[in-house]
Amino acid sequence: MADVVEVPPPDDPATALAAVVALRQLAERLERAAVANALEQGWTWAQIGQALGVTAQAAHKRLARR
Amino acid sequence: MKLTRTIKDIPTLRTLLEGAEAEARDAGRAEPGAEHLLLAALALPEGSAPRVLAHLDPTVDLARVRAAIAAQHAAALEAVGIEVPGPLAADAPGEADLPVPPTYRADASAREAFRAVTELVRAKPRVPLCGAHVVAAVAGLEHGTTPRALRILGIDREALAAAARAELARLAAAGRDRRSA
Repeated sequence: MADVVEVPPPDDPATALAAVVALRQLAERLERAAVANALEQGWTWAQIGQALGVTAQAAHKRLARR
Repeated sequence: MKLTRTIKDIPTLRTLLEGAEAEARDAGRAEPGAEHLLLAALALPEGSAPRVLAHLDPTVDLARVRAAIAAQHAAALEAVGIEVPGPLAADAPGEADLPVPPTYRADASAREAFRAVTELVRAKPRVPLCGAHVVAAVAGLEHGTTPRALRILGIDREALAAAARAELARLAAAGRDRRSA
């Protein structure tokens, strides 16, 4: 890969840990938005689960809005 | 969380926890953190949490705290070379209005903050659960999103804790006056 993610200096663990938290949040938001879009486009939970690498049940339990 | 033995004001407790869940959901998170509890406390109608913040800086309100939390995440991502062009939509169009049943789950930072809230209520049971309890509790968190967002706002954690304690003392005194009147 051409792009290398620059890791914060090791003497600043607080910034690095905050980045981990922010990345998790970003991933969760992206996941929710992507799943909502997939459902709108007629994807099944089995397909969504497969694409995310989890079971349909796990995807539905974690991401279904109900 | 076994809160209800200490916290008797169940309607406020529910408003707070469900408000925190709504804030977390709006941010695209599955579970609320301490920062979402703080936002929910600032939205409580009794107004003690915004009074505490305004005591330190009259320009800081719910919207500015919410913005500081988002800015904190953006700054943290930037520190590892990731730029997010705009807020990712948390919900698909039309989904935001669906009623979502509360789960009363929370991440570790929110649980830690709530333990501190419970301690504060236990120590002075005369003051029913209010936003100032939550502010005092989150001011005690040393690491994580909430203290970093407070730093962005230029709010000192110790000054915030002191202001929250002063507000709780004021509410306790007001309660005493009412009872003796």
